[in-house]
Amino acid sequence: MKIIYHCYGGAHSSITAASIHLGWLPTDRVPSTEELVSLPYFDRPVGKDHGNIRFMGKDEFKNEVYVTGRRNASRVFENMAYGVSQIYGLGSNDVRLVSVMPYVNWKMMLGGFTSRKLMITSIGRPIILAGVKYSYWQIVTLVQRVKTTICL
Amino acid sequence: MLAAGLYLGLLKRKDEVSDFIKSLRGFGHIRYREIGTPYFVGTGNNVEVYTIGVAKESSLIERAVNELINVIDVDDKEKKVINVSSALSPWTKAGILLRRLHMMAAANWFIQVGARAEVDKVAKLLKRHGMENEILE
Repeated sequence: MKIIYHCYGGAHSSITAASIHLGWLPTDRVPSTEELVSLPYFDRPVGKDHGNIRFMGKDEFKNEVYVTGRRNASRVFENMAYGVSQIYGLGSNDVRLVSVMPYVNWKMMLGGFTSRKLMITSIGRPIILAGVKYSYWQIVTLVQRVKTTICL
Repeated sequence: MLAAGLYLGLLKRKDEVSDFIKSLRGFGHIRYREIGTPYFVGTGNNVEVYTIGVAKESSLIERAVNELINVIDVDDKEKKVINVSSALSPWTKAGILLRRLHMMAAANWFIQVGARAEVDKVAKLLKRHGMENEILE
């Protein structure tokens, strides 16, 4: 199965969710700043990267995990992705799209805008990290729910 | 849809544009929340032609479609994704806005006017991508 975690920019919440899914981040504690910053693509993508679907890795069940940023086009993106998958004969058991946006808080939005749009990383990144840590348990719960449903 | 119609030879003359638009399956009835779903238009020269609505994010969705095809590609068939959003006329944009305001009759009129204004641009765009078509006066 191909699992695509998506959010606005594909730089923070979706990276965090994918990393939890792949076991790169803990599920029994909130990760440290160093653990988050060292994640691949964390707080790196910019506007021209939106729409790029990046491969993150394979989980313990050999499911492929991807991330992408799709700005405010969540519904359009999901309709397109499921529709194109069907054209190729793939169903919901082969491709799963997971939006992480419900767990994005104002700190992540403000920090993401400051860091990625205004390119003031020194100010934006600490705000993002505070936001990710604040929503961390919700994202862990989301990932656990995804893993439970795909294993059933 | 204009591009698909031109490529498949469903639309050959400019004065057929209005009739072509009105004959489209679901014209005027597709809901906003369905935007993004690919629609199969037809097959020509062993080529399957689909359309995808992109709302305001044409380049993002174009990129995402190409990337997704690479992700899920299960065969070696050639694929081509052509973004025709640059050919969109202000008439069509006005029609889309009116449709969101549920002013369907006015919306459909604007969209038909827009389609007539766009057909040349769309035809040139297709030719630039190596997709020959004939649109006659």
